[in-house]
Amino acid sequence: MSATAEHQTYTGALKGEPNKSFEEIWAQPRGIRSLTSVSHRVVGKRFIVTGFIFFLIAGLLALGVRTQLIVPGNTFLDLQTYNQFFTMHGTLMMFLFAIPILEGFGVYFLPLMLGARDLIFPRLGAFGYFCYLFGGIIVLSSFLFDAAPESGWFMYTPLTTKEYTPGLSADFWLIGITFAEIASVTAAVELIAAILCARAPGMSLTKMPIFGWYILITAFMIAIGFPPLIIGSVLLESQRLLGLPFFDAAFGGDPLLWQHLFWIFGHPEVYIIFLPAAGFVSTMLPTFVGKPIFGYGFLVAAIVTMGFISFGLWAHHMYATGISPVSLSLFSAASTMVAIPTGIQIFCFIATLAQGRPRFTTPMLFVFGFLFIFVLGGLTGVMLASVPFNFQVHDTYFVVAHLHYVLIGGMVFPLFGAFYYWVPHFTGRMMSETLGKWVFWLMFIGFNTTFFLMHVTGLRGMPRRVATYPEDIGWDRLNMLSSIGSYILAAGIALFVIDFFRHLRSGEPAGRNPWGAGTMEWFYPTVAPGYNFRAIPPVRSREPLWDQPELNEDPAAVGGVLRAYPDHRRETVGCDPLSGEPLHIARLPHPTWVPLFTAFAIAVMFGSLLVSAYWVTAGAFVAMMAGFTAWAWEPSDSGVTRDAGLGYRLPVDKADRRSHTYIAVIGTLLILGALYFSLVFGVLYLWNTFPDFAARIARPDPLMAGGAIAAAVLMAVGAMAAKWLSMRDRFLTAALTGVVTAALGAATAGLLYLAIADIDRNATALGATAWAIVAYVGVLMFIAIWWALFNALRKLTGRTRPGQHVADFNFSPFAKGVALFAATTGALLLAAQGALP
Amino acid sequence: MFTPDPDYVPFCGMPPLPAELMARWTLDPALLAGLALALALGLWRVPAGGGARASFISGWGLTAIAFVSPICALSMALFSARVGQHLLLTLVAAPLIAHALDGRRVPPMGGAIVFSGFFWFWHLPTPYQTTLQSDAIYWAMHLTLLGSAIVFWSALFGRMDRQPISGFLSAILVGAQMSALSAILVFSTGLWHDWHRAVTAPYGLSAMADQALAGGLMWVFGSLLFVGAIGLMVVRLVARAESRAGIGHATSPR
Repeated sequence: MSATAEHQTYTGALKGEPNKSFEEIWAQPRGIRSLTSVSHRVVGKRFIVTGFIFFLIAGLLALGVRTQLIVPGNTFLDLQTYNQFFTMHGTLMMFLFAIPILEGFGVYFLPLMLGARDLIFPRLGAFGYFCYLFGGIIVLSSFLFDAAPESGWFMYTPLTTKEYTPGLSADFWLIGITFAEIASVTAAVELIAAILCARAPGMSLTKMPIFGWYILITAFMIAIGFPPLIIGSVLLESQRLLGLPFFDAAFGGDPLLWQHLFWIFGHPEVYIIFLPAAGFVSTMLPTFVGKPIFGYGFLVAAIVTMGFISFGLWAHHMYATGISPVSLSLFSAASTMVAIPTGIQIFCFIATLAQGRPRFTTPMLFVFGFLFIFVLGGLTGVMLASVPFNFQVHDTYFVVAHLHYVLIGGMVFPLFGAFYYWVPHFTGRMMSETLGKWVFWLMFIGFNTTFFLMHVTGLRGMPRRVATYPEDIGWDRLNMLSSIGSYILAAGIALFVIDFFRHLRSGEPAGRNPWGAGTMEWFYPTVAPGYNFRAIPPVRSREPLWDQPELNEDPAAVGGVLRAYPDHRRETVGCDPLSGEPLHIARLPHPTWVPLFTAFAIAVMFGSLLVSAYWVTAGAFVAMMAGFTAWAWEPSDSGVTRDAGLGYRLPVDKADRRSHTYIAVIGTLLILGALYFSLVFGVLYLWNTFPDFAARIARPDPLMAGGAIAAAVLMAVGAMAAKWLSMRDRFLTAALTGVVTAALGAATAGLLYLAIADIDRNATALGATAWAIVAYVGVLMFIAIWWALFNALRKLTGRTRPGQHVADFNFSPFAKGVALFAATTGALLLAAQGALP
Repeated sequence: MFTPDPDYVPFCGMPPLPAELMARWTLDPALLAGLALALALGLWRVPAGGGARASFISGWGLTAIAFVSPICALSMALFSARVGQHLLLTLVAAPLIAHALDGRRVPPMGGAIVFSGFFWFWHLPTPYQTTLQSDAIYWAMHLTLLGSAIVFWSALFGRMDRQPISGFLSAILVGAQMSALSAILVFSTGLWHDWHRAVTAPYGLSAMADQALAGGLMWVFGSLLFVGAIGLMVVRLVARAESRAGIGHATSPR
């Protein structure tokens, strides 16, 4: 293999900015050009600020709800507006606040903690942010059209179908949220690759700060957990737009299928929100106790097992849907299972506290608030897991109280602690300890007043989501107190906002490592320069700033890799995922308009879909493809080696199974696989639940299905051959093989289409789902064909130089994955052909 | 095409009544000989020390219990017992045996795909039915299921410290397919296996309830066992890495 051979014919620095100094290369663009910024520090802050604005909006909606309920028979909000308020409150909080803001913290802090100069795919981060922003704007803009979603944050069918929710309100939700979820899954891939592939020299996985583990597992959960909801939303939207009967019982569809898809996402979602917040806690605790976190290995195991368990428990949101009593009792037992990994984490936190004498700073107060509230929420969770009790309080305020104890206790309190802890890193100034304690106590007292009483309101039978209630049935005073509590909670949050703006001007300068933390984000005095590390120092400990005295000297002079920058490029070191040993130099992109342009094209695509302007949709689709192509169509720097310092001589952007680009392809396949799996689950579920309808659909054509399997196998072989040829620098034959691979991909998609062409997609839900699977495989084939032709075109136009193999190296697993989905589809069609009566 | 023999008695016998269940031990000479042979082979190949041998013997013991004890007979009456037997074999006995073996030569993803394929195949109506019509097919089922489970677990254990990513992805695949199969069983509106239609009543369960119980067992105890095995593996991996790097002893905050 010639991957690391030196080629003298070109410099390997086609995109360098030779006139600029190191600081200038990393400088943030100013003015309007700041929209081109791709730095994780900028993108992370944007995620956090935008998420916080959504939090404030959703909080105001909640205050509207509480004001409506403050006295019986109130007319502050009419019924429809009330429905819109609680729906949008839940939607904004869950989708546009909780997940994005936590990802924002991950995006901002992980490179700093792990010893990287930027997140490993900076443009993807910027792209994800813009998708999130535009998706959020689409959802929020529904208020302007008086078409805000009003069916509750979980959008149950059949209420959300066209018959019962005419107009655009449900479409706003489905399209806007799906768009924002693209941001979440792209960020998930990016975080997985960044955590595994871009750490400081010597930082093995087990020396990684525990926060890295929390975000790594969360990212995996997002990658697997969001696809079922994306599929559910796409199916529901196509039922609304095209009349395909996925959830229509009259055609063998099942409204419960929506609930399954929703809760396969929705249950892990709770842990996706909890885990990063627990990561904040386990980062702050050691700082204020002065000892490392207790039970690192047990914590890691608890995080991993929590990730697995969370995907098996979705049915416990569906107790009241008519599941057989035998299964219910098993689910009940299973629901208590998650107490084990949660308990391990809580006990590790308590044991950490017991190791030393904690300093009672504002962040610590919030940590204590978290422990108190979250444990109570866990206890009511155990109560809800018991079937008879669950039936009794189903859809009452007891459930509302429980979920707010879990989510506000498990996420919002750690988040505010994290704000007080990390704001100095953003702004260089400390927030007020005095005001911070006021903020905490207002929030803590306000929260418990509001929500503790709701348990009682629920036990007294008040159902959730009712806009008002009659007098004198025992709900008046409780509601009054809950509403007053919500104002106290809001006052605490308002005081936080005031303190934030106050500290920007008059806060104490933070200086270097103000809390005495052990993690690397405090390596520079605040505000740290945009490149994070002048040279990336080797790391030998989980608390490097405590254990490695040299790191507390002049940060610009500390020895490390990549001090020299011979090619005048932004770059960071890519490592072996396991050992953290430097593997290659990862070249990073400089500021660019492409992410904004592409995200905007997609926003136009979705927006025009909403108003049924399909010609605009088509134009925006072309613009999007142009954007993605421009993204990838840049000269490659790979195929050379450079001295990296500390005795390392490293290749640039190595084609390797351990490199970030390869890991990202695998991560993408994981998402695509989860999407595919969700569709297959839909088919098997419908077939099994309504077998009578299976008899009504036409048999798929076995010859075409078999042909599709053969073509898919050949396509995978073609991609592997193209890689093999390319790795040996035989570019002409590799390009031709790539074209053949693309043709085989087209043949596979075409044969699958012919195999199901006789099935009527409007007559049965099962037929519609079969079409959905083939359509999905068709989309993936389109991407694979585009990629294969792209690689071929670059070689034919001389843009691929000897030693540059990354594109073909990474295309091969993608093509194999897509071929696997296509072949599985063919096999399912063959099996169906045999099994159909 | 396979034609059923009306006089054929399945390997574990005809479905027992609750009263006779505890007397229904399977003391088939071929089975006992096979188990003895497996034990001898294991003791010969698995090195003593390091807990490997103890792990193998407990895995072997559970396998023996799954076939010799009345579990075998009960699985003829109740689909849920059959599923319980499969879970015991693939999620407890298999990882214990795999722990004693060297699985570094097999890619975990390959192991996961093969195991998942067998797991679905043998629980589908037609293949399931044929295992009750021929000893050879019954044993083909158990050997492929247990064998592929052992291969999967040993690949996972053997490669985890070198290929954690594909290790995790393969674990995700196995967990996901098991949850999906069990969900489909639990929510099914029709009976999958005719064999159990008329034989579950003495146990106080309708055939549909028995099927839902089978799905629930797979869902709940399947995930519990699976997740427990994964959790233990992670604890061991981190502990091994810590002792190698000397972490956990040298940290000294200021």
